[in-house]
Amino acid sequence: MSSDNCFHCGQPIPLGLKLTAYIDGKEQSMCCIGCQAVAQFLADNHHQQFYQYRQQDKPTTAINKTEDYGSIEVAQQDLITVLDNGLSQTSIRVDGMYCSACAWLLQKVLGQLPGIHDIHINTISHKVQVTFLSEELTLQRIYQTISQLGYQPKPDRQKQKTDHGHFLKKLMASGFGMMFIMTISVPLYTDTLTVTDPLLRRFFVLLSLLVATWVYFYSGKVFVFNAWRDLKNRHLGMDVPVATSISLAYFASVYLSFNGQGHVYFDSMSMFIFFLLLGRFIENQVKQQHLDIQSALLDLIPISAKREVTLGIEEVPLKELKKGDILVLSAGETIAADGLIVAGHGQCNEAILTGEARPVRKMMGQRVYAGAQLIKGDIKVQISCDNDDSLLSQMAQMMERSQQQKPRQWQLADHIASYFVAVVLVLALVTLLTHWWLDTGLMMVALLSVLIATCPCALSLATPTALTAAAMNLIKHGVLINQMEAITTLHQVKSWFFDKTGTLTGSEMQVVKTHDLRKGGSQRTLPLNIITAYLQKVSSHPIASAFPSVLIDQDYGEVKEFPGYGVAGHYKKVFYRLGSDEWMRSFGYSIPDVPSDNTLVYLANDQGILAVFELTAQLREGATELCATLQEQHKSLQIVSGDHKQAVQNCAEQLHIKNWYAACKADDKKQLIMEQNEPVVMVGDGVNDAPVLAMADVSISLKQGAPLAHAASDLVILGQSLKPIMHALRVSAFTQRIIKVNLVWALLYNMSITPIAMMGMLSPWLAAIGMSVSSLLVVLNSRRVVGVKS
Amino acid sequence: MVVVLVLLSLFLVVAAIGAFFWAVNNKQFDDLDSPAYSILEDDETDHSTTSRK
Repeated sequence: MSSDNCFHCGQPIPLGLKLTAYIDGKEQSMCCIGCQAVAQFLADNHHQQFYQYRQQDKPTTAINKTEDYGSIEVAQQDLITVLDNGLSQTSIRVDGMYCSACAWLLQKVLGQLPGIHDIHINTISHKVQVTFLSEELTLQRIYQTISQLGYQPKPDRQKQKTDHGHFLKKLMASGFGMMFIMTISVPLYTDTLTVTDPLLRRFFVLLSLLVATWVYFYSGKVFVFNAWRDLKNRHLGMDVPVATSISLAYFASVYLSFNGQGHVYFDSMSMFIFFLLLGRFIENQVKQQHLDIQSALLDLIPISAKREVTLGIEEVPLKELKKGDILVLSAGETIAADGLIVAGHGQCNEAILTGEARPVRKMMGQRVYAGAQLIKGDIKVQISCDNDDSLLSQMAQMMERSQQQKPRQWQLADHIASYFVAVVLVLALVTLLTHWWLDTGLMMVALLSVLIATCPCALSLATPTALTAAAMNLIKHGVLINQMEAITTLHQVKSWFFDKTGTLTGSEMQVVKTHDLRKGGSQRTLPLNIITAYLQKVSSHPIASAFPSVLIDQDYGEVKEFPGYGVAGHYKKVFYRLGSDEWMRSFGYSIPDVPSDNTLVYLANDQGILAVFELTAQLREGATELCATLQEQHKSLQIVSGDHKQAVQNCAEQLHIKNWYAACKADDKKQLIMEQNEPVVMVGDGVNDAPVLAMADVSISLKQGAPLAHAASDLVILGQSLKPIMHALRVSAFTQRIIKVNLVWALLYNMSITPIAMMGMLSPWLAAIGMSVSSLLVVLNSRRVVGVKS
Repeated sequence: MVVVLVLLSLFLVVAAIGAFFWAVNNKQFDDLDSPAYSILEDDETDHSTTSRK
């Protein structure tokens, strides 16, 4: 690691800052007091192994001030479960936990608190479950301890899923049952080793009956319930033939085992149940991972809020807030509910809702939204709607809905499978009647074999398994899937549209050239970057980010921001202005002629312009590679941007993109996409792109854009780089190929096995193996997608 | 003889299922990823926090 970056968080260290922490006998530089405190705390408590455990992953956010978490105490009751033994248990979602080192650290430090009984940390779901003695330890203390380490603890409001355990039990029960029944079925099947003693035979059959009964009623009943529900909804689901075959096999075998003649089919039945459950178990696990990511959105709403009552202000838990209540908010707090400002004014950061990073001014009568943060000012807000109707909740619902939608291809497979089921049932009936008519003595064998062997499991697994495998792969490579269908269509689309600002170029600006116009002498002694750094510290405008921050601990004079123009203030008794040409002109400065395509920013004092800075937004990482790859694949690329002509042209030339459209408003962009005759991929970010993203056949947005844009887009890129898109492209093509192979295989298998089964030449246990192997091949084939490397 | 052996195997199956159910109920299958790292913790004072039930 270079010494320019913070040893703890890896962020660049501001110029001129000399903060160090003494770790393992070495001085290490730190970027801020928060990081220093954490690093020193770790070192002092002999936890410096943290730095060894964490691999390449570093926290990317610097440590903010630690919070007080007083509000946690108010909502205590909702967050703590009291266990039977009198201990309290709580689940905390810890944001900023990246790797095993973090888990290790939390375990260590929390473990030292008095009254802690048990800590369980899941690094995958970022959840910490703490069991503690509430007499000795408060919830607030736990939260404070976690936040002192630099993590952001949030109450975990998601209900624990208990399904997982149940499912696992059912799966294992059927697995063990299957093994036992198969073991004692072998002597019944093989004629040479046959147990000749009829009494012993009887004993074996009854034992299988005992175990099979348990397997059927414990593990198999889900299928019967599902089938019953499907039938009530007049829908022929896959569970209908499944339930028919296992019930038929079970009850016929029960009858046969008491009548003492013919084969019993307990082995086939339990095997069938086991393999089906196994397939569903794997499917469920993948889905669960998706849900965890979504729930993070709602965690943004604070768990308690200050409400104005006749006697003053009281702190109440979120769920007690009602429409019409007055909330009291001061700077730094997160708004708990949607409402109208009834007193005061301030600035809100609504980035989470709109993606706009700049604070928005809020006056009396204006609307504020739950999840937004009040940056400046004090306001009173009258709640205008219940919690479930807030904009944030609606957005979360929208995301959930989009996830539940099945892709068209998936629906198609389901549709085909349901026809298939009907055909299977008809074939089974035909088989039954034929064998009965001809009196072949194979009626039961043939019937069961047909039902089991033709189960369209492989067919209906073909698409979903490949798609979920693709989703799993993509999420590991920084791509979130909103719309599964995008995976299968992405690589087919020929026409790609890119937004420029914030998509092809990064959102932060950089100074590329400085023209120092000062005349030399004493004037020049003061470095420009000190002045600009001092002035820009008050501004949160993207342009301000171009000027590197320098630590200036002394106050040299007041600085003020003039939104839309620039900043102005005193630095060591000289008055400076830093801002646009228009602003400078309004003060009568003569503007020096600097020929440039870049954005120009001027620094002036009372004597005139001192310097001109050329600013440009850098190309985003991976943009060049992505465009080159796409062009290699003969895709047509276009840039649509709201930016002015020169900037867009520059960008297009850098990326060798021939078609570009500058100065487009959101409506123009929409129009442009609508006019395309072929499918379109749109890559964009931010609010103004949301409608455009929704228009495109496949849409891709970037994480730092608005969550609203997430909802409208099919794929979300999580990192700073555009490279994941290239990976998504590769995965998309591969997935499509896998799905095709799967479908062909499943259809071929089902078609070839059915006639054999109908003739009664296939025993049910063999059919069950055939069914499982064909499904297994499909699942294994799909799993290959998970391994696609970038 | 055969009967005894078969019954014995049935008993084993029941025991295996029982053991498994016990493990699931004890949440031993809830998190299969993090405990792998616990072996790397070399702090001797720590047993009180993790193993106490």
